[in-house]
Amino acid sequence: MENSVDKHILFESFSGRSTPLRKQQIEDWLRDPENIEPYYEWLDEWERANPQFIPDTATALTRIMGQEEAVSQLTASRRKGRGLSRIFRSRLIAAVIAALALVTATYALKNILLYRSMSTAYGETRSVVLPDGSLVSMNANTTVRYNRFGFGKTNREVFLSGEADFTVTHSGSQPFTVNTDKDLKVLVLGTRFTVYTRGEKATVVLREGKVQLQYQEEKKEQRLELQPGDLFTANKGAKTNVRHIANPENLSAWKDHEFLFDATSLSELAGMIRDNFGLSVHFEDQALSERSISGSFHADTAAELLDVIAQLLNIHYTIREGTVYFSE
Amino acid sequence: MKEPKQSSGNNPLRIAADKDADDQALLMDNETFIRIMLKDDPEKGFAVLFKKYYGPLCSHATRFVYSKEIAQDIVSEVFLNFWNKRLFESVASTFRAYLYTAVRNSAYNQLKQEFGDRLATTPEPVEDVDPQSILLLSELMTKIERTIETFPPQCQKVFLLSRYEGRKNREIADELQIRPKTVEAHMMKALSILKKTLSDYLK
Repeated sequence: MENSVDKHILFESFSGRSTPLRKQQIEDWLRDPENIEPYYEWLDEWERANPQFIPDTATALTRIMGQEEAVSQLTASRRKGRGLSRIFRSRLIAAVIAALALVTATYALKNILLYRSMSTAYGETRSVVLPDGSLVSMNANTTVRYNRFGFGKTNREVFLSGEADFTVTHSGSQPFTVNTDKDLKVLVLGTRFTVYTRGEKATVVLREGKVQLQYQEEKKEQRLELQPGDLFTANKGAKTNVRHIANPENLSAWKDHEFLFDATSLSELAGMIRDNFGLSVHFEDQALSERSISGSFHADTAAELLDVIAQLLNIHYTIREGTVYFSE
Repeated sequence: MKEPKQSSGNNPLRIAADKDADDQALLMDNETFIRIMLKDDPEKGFAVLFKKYYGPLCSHATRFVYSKEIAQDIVSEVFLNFWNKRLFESVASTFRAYLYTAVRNSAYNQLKQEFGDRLATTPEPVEDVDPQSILLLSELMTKIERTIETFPPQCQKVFLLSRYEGRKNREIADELQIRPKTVEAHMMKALSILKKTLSDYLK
């Protein structure tokens, strides 16, 4: 039987003028997931045509953006300032973001190709050879940008957000620089290393060769040379830290969709799942977040990884609306 | 499992590469536009999304909770959650569908806490959408309106001033020229009728 529900039928039902027969018809129609979107589209249209009241949107927006949490997540950089300086800083950052957005918009719409930009989706990893022969392996949810003109000739600068592993070719005079959005720069002269810069944390791990880091600490520019096996960590509001690790290659295992854990707690893992698969994580019981796992696993998708975790710890998980719920 | 949506529809670069830029500006619907903005400049994109949907969502929420204040709190919370958890990066449906679903569900939870069986009040996270619960919510909306229509005129007036407008009992008493005790009595009556008629829906 042809079952078509149109806007008129839905509007009547929203206004409470529906017969039981019509209700059944709408319910059948909604069984097709395709129709969920039109349902909300028409609900929105109906609500706009019949408003109960008109709230003060501008005030509400100011109030919601004023919430400390929102602000800190918003600028997602540096430690929280107070009062004016924070406002100034967020404005400054907004200006920088706006400038970047302008560049992106120009790029997108006018096709002026100043930068070449490569991105990976959630769950995707990809390796790309740069014009100078250097190899970049991007982890999921990562963007690497570099100058379209002159790269390898007048400069070797790349801009990173996310996580990527670099194998840089040696080039006598031309240093290779990785810029992050954190006041952290990595200067290279031919080497293999991994840079991670997401949210409030940045790490660099060096496998071979030598790199120099430039970063800000206590308002001063710091320089630091890493030796192979060094893991450098910078965290918002905490002191930077360098320690030597035995197997630096483990930190780039994601290149082969390998996940390596060494007494890694579920709460640390939650951050990784968010970064790589775009899923937030919720623990039904906080004690769960402290349980930890060790070992190396191969997983191509979030579901494969979650299945392994669930089996190992003998716990359950469900995914609803982009959130993973772990339970006993 | 539900993979986060990464279709070509929300990749600005891919769109530009496919089509002529001028055409594209017209073809892009609001949703796509906001998605692109949220990617390029999250703060600004969020502000645009907020301005577009805050009003209608608040209006919609009042149909359930019958209070401007509670409605605005619910909608603000939904937006805050959307921002803090960076859901704009992972929501698989349109933002519109997500926002309406989330607001309706939390309005429902609010009613459950206020008028439902107190013992059974465990606010649940936003559930998967199934046709029955979507319809149940729309029906609940109508039911509440019908119920309020059946209140005696003075009782209805008091209820709307108090609950909907958030006015104080004393102000209402002054305005309607009745005793504060009478205002209280009207409210008690209104709320108990609501509780009784809505109990089937709030299990």
